[in-house]
Amino acid sequence: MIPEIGHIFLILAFVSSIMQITYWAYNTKNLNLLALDILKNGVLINCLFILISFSILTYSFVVSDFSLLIVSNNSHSLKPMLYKISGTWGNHEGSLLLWVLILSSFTFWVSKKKQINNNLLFSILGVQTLILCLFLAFILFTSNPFERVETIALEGRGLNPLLQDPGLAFHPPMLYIGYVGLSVSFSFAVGALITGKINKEWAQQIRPWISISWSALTLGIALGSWWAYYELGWGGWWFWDPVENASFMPWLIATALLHSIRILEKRLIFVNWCILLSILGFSFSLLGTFIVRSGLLTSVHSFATDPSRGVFILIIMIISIGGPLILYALKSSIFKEPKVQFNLLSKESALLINNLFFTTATATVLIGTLYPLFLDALSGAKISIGPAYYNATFAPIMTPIILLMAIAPFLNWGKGKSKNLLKIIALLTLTSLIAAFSLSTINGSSIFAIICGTLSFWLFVGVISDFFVKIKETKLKITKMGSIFLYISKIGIGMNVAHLGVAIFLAGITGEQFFKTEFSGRKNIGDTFYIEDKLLEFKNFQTLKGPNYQSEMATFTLYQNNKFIGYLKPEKRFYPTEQSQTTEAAILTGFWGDTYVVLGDGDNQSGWSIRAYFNPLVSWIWSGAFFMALGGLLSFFEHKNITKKNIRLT
Amino acid sequence: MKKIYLNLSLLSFFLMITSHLTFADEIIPKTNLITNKTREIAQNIKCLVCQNQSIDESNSELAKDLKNLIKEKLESGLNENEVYSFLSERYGDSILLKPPFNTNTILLWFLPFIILVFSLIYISKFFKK
Amino acid sequence: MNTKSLVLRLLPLILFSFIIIVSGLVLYELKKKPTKKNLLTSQLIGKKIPDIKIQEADNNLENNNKNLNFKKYKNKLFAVNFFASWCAPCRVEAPIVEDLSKIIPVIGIVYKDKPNNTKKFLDDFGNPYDKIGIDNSGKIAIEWGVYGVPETFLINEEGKIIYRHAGPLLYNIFKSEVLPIIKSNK
Repeated sequence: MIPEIGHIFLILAFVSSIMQITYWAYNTKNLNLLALDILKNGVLINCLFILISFSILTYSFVVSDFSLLIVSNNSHSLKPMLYKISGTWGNHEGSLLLWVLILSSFTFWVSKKKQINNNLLFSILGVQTLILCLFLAFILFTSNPFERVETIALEGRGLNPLLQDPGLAFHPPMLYIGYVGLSVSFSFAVGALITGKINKEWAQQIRPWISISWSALTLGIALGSWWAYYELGWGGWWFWDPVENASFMPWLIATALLHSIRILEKRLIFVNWCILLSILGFSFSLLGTFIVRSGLLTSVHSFATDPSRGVFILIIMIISIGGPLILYALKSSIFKEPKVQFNLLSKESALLINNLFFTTATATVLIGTLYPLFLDALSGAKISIGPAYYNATFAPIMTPIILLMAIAPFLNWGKGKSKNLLKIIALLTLTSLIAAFSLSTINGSSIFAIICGTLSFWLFVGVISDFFVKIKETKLKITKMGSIFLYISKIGIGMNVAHLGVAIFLAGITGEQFFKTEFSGRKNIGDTFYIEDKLLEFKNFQTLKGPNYQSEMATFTLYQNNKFIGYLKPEKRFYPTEQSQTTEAAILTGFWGDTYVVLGDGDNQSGWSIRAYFNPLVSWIWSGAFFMALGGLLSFFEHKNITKKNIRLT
Repeated sequence: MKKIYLNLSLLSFFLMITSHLTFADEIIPKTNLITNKTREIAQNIKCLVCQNQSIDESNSELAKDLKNLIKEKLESGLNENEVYSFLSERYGDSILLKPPFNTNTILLWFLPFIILVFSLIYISKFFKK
Repeated sequence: MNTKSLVLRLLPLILFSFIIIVSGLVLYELKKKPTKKNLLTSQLIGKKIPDIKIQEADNNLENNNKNLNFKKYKNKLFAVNFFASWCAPCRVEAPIVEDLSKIIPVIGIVYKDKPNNTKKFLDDFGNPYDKIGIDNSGKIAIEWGVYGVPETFLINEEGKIIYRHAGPLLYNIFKSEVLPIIKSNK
């Protein structure tokens, strides 16, 4: 009975959204306040109905209601509670319900923003509701989470053990916040095309949504990578898998958009870029959804789906991407931008070059992702595209951006000559040459290691120099401001923190990719071996029982320079319900790197197969991403202060 | 003056990191050229029975056999390209993680740079002479 | 100037349409042939069987110090089936391989197995093989482009490989793919 209520509320939300869209289309030419209010109420209703529906689905998972098909297929009564809950979105249908929940909540949040112009808000709510309606149709007609089974099984089939993990529980919600945030900026852009108006207020209002969605997307992708690193058992964290690329492409566009919007806010240029990037950001989110759920591919990530769902998503894409792109082609000429030319050494040029390289990088990832599929469809030839391709194409394209990132803050707007520019370039070049030289002396370094490490260092110096310049120029003292938070938002260091994150990230990549050491061999209890200067001793081996698995666990001690550092306990787990085995690597994380030990097959007589790695600076990869997201969040708060100031002044 | 101090300290921080990464040769066994080459090639060969792994990363039987095979072929005098050909002749181009360069893949390799060049030419209009 | 900027504005739409059309094509192909989607097509189709010498097995499944000789099958259609006792799908396909062996000769190549276990497997599930070869190192499999067991090849009168199926030879595959080839080659 209860699941049927969940289903009914979903249908009600769908019907309500259809009514709202009709109402929107009808009233879009002559807007009145009543129409806007009706739409605002509609948005609230949609949100509430979907919330009820989602809560009921979660409840069904929590109580292990196996009369529901997806609970039966994806859950088990012995599963720990956290994974029962996160199992709600650990499948195709449930994750779509989470998607529309976040979408409807964000739409409601936007509707509450009083400062948005009425015409614009009307269009935004209309577009958002249209997207919601399309997704609800997709759910109700092809992916109903409330579908019942014919005969109720006594127990569920369980959740893939790889997914029973805290990192992975939060990875989809973070990503969806990112994708949905991009839909808001998408609606802002389409709204601008419909209303025909763009001004600095528009840029100010759209910016926080981009900040939030960019930060969430950064965290979501980082969580997924981090999970792959510790869970999959060989320390890999990025494979340029089509599903990973599907989340990376929106991120690249969002980054370009984030930067372009700041310029639009200040100078009302790059209008076309902002509109196009806003449309493209969400378009790539949809393309990602299509790639993952259409049955086009099978991969570690993709949900098991059939091509008929793919056709439905294709239609959604044609409507929601094709429509705005046609609108863009026809109407964007109304935004008469002054035909300016920029000084080569100006912030405007830097931004233009930045956008160019980011869109080219996105195009490269798109080519790498779709090429094998398209080649197969058109000629039958089958090829694979792995990291080697992206290292040869994507990496060289991103390199100029890193170089630019460090000097861009020292460029001036328009024609002004920048007094610091020559100084900073000299400083960067000098320090980077020294860095490159010291990198080349490290055992095992290659030309790419030197380039990558030097780029990271170049960026470090640039970011920190800019930070100090900013502090000097604001002429404010912490004691006078009273609160550090206010101080931070005054000097606007969100960008510095984010760029610092990139530098940390690059350093992490340099260490992990180019200076990793590995040990591989058969060891028995009592044996020892070295990895770098760390001594590992195989202490003992035991069999254990977990809540829903059986485990074989080896215990190692780690000594460095005769000092005890810690224990490493790699495991092999067998999950009887799901009939699958996972390897749980033992990881000892340190500031300078991780020691990573994996247990293979073996027995008491011949010993066990052991693989151990030392991954230098690998946690700098996740920390770097975290700082990037933090920077985005700081920038969100900075923006809030600025707008408040503006409103007070008027 | 402050900035010089700052950057000198950054530099020493960086040199500290690099000294950490430098370690004594004695602890690491000497590797020879063929082993390195084998690993390099293995990183570009797809593990056909795994998800998203090269045979270098994989522990599967087939991965081990292929790695041994690559080593043998290198020892018998084949060069890198010949090893790749040997494998793609038997398993198809899709076993190569680095796509080959032929009529099927010309667009793949050139498009990114064509796009880059054309866009650079396009935006050069926006810069003052 | 106006048409040029219009073309530029239309560019995203054009690229998008291209992606949609080709994706639609891919989905259409998928709906037609769902099963063969992810299986590799053999590179050896149309080529002569690989040169590599295969050790022959005696009645006890041990090496009898002779090499597998394909001369007997010259001018005949025959099959080669890679299998192992530890391979579960091999048990599933055993009856169909038996059926196949009644129509054309089937040579079995046992992959990374122990003679005792192989013997037991053949005792339990029947021995449909005209001859048996041994591949303990995995090298034979690699030469044939085999990436798992079981795999079945059809070789024609000229000694060329004309068909390969990776995975168990299920009855519907046997009926819809293998039998027609045998009929057209008789």
